[in-house]
Amino acid sequence: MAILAIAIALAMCAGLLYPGDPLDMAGPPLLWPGEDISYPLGTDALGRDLAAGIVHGARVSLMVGVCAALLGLVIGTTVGSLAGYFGGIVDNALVRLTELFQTIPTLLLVIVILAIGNPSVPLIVFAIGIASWPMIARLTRSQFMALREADFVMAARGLGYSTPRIILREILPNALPTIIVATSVLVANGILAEAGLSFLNLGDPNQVSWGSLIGNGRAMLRTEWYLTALPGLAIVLTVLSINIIGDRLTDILNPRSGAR
Amino acid sequence: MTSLLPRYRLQFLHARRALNSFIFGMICCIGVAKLTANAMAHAVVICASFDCKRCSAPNGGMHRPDSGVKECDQLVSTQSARKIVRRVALQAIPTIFGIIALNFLLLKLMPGDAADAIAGQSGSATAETMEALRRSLGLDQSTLTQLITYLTNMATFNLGVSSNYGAPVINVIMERLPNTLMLMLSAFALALTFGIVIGWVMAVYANRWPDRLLTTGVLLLYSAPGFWVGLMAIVLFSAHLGWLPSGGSETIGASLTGFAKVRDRVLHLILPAAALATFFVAIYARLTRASMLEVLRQDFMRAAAAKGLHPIVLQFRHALRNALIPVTTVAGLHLANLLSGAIVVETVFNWPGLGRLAMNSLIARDFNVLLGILFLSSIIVIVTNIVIDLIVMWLDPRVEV
Repeated sequence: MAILAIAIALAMCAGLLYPGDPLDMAGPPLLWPGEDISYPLGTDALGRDLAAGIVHGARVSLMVGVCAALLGLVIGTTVGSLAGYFGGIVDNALVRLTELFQTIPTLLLVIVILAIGNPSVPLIVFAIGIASWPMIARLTRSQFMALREADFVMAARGLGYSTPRIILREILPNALPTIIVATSVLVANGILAEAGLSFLNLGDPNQVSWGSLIGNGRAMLRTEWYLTALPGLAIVLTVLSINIIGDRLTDILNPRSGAR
Repeated sequence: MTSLLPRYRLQFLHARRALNSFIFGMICCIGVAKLTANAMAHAVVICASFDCKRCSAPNGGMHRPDSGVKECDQLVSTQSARKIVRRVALQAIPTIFGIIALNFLLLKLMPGDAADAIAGQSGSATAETMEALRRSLGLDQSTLTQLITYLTNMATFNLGVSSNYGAPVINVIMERLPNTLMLMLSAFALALTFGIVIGWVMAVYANRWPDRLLTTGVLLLYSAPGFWVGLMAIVLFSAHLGWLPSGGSETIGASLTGFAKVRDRVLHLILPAAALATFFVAIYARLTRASMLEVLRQDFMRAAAAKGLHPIVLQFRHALRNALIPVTTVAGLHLANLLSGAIVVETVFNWPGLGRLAMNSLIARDFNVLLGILFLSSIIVIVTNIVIDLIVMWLDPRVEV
């Protein structure tokens, strides 16, 4: 939890802490962490400050993770709630669509989408979002199917509320807690996916992210392995804290699992 | 212009020959599939009319009350066989068509068309030759006609010609496919074995220190990107300790044979498979723990314990078997993710598989190969999902597909 707060704070203050482009040369090349106090995490082969890279990378990684998760959330909730509420033919068609996207290897689809356009942060967000919604859709659908026949929905129907109102104002708020927990997983996966993409050199070439730092450090893996290890550690800690938050939320929202 | 046309004609001939062989292959495939389906249906009927396969209780597995057999289930009943056929017809086929349609849409979205690509390769082209090329490729036809052509091509596994390798896409992919499948299967096996064992230990020691320790470890694995784990493993095991090779699928130029060759390949397989497996070990461990705890609480477990069954029999025959059902179901859903992970891990370890092929094709803008990989990997996922359904049915015969 604290780690996530630190990561977010670092991402926000990136401009203040390290003004200037993290891709600029800052000091002597290949300093090991701790060798020079002004470059606490060392520098790479071109003398770029690794600490500045990680701090600026936090911004890109977190933003891509969160935005992609939001996009996935919007698409997934829409598809899931429509399928769950209406059932029948609509449900059948939407479930087929969900299955279709679930069958396609995510990263492969993202790569194909990136091949069509030029890699930039918005396109990466779009591609990861497009590829990650099926999980939310399945979850929302099952929630809606369970809540569709609940008494309060019957009452709302009896009062003559319009269908959009029933979906948005009556059922959705009740289904939301479960969906939010799933979204935390989506954010974590989004960060991991972005890291994989920029590691493969498919990220935005003008932005530093944790994945691209790992990718750059890979060339000197055998000797200067801290260049790879530190950004990776940043990813692990951030994703770990998001996952822990997700687990806690599940325990709070699901009394049955709390008993364990 | 003279340099342009012969080259193209050669490719066209290639494609024609490939097309013919694939039509033939497809007819054979359909024949074999029909025969297999028939044989399966027959076998199932025969099974049902004879003794039970598991406990050899007579009368089609219908146990007489006095036979002394407590529990038994048949592998596949006639009804479920029909269900599988229906599932294939109702779910797999629309999914395949959806994937083809999606591919076609992506193909349309790509900047430039095949004529551009060919012209770009030959170096120079005039407006007239481009026009002629487009006509001969069918690009001047309406979108609907093009879609129909594309569909018929796909139906015969004719995925076009790779501009980068100058060979039919299907050949290029088939060359790499075994490597990726080997990597995926070993990672899958590793993940399932370790995941289930860890999850089982966690459930048995629930809320005591082994559970706490393992939970933390599993959460760490769950949060670490596989490619980073792989890189760190290279640092430790091949750079510092020198135990394992750091890349490739075999020692180049060693020309080993027999046992030495197998050993060489296995050594090269360990690190990438382990790196790919980490994330999934974590998922399966968590799932196994949760569903084991669920099963352990149920009445039939208490009944079995009261009956005086040995705890080990209890754990394995009753608890684990039931706990594995959700794990298996979810494992099917993860296959697509496993393929995604393979792409990055293959890059880390220079593994000559589909993932690196995809990356190379991306750099060369070889869209036919990219879409071919997308299509083929989806087919693999669909097929394995059907297999997983069969396994679930074997674990719990009450489940109907």
